[in-house]
Amino acid sequence: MSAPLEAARPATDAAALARVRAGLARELAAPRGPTWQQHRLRGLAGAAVTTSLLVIGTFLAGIWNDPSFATGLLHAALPVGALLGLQALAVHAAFAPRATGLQRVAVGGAVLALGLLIALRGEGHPSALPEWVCTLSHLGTGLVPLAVLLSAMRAAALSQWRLAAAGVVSGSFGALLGEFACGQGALHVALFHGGAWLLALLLAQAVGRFLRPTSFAP
Amino acid sequence: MAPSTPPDPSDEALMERFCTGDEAAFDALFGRHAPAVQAFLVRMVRDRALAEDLTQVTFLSVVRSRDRFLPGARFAPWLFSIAANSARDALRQRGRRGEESIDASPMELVAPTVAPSDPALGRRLGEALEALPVAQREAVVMHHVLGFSFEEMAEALGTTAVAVRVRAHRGYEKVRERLGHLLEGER
Repeated sequence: MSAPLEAARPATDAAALARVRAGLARELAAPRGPTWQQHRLRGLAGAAVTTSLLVIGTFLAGIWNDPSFATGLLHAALPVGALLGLQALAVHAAFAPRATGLQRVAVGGAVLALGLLIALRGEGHPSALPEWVCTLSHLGTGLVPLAVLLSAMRAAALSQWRLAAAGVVSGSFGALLGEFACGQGALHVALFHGGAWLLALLLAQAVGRFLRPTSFAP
Repeated sequence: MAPSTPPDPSDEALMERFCTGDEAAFDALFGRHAPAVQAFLVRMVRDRALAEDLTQVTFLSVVRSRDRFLPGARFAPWLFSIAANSARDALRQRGRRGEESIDASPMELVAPTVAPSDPALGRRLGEALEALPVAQREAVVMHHVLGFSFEEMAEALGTTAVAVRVRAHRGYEKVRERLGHLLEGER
């Protein structure tokens, strides 16, 4: 250690530390809040419920318009399966302690999943609606899950990578909607579905900067 | 023959006991580490009142998030990662509000070993540290003031030992530039 900088170590303020310790008494006596495993379980359950509602709602809307819609859904099994797996990974990464590596994997997984969605889409068919409607509806689908997720994530420090994992979860709901409800081609998926996912990631970062966590534990 | 006293339990053993509800274990951890946490935060935010609040926030986080302390991890780096996170958040809030540190007595920030007749040293040390980017300030304070190893700092700050070594080196060089002859004894 450097001698002059050793001297820069502030003197201990014992009175201040006594006040700090006294201020912790109520927290020590309070019942313990949910653990990170419980938060994760609730996150996974919430994601499963939301996805189920999305599937049922899109299915009913699709069948109403086109009785052969159900057959088309079978072709979405692979990308939907990939998205559900990514969602579970990202939920876990958002809540687990010291999970920066997993959070990066979740973001990388989102890029790969988007690549898969683009590769499997093919020519597609045009839609009567403007293309930006997909971006807007995808982002909107992910808003409530993002809000719920960020609220629960305040129980620990909100690092950029944790917020990115939350953005991956939010964006995955929009991507699922795109697989069920949009039949347009690969370029559309890349620009407008991919654009929605990118916006979800940016939104998670922007909102996270203003959230105050209840704990700064990593 | 005098009975041998049992060795003090390790921080990790105390944390394990605290996680099962042993408040005395928390008190032991607090007693061991609160002074160093307070010193770190005073140096980071240069505001004694704010540092007291952040010390409380740090240990509140330990209490609330004890489940996030992973088995096998080391306690001190985990504790200081919490302190560093709280300091960065406070500095960000302060920057957003356009505030400056309000501590008017730089000498209070310096250990009693510094001669009271040398107020320039205390003031220049504080100014030199405050002029550093937050990441370099953390590294210089943790390594040169508090004596953390680069491996411990890497664990606390969630980065590599090489990265913290570079930050500490660059930060210390900037401090040397500002302090000039005051650090000539180091050469």
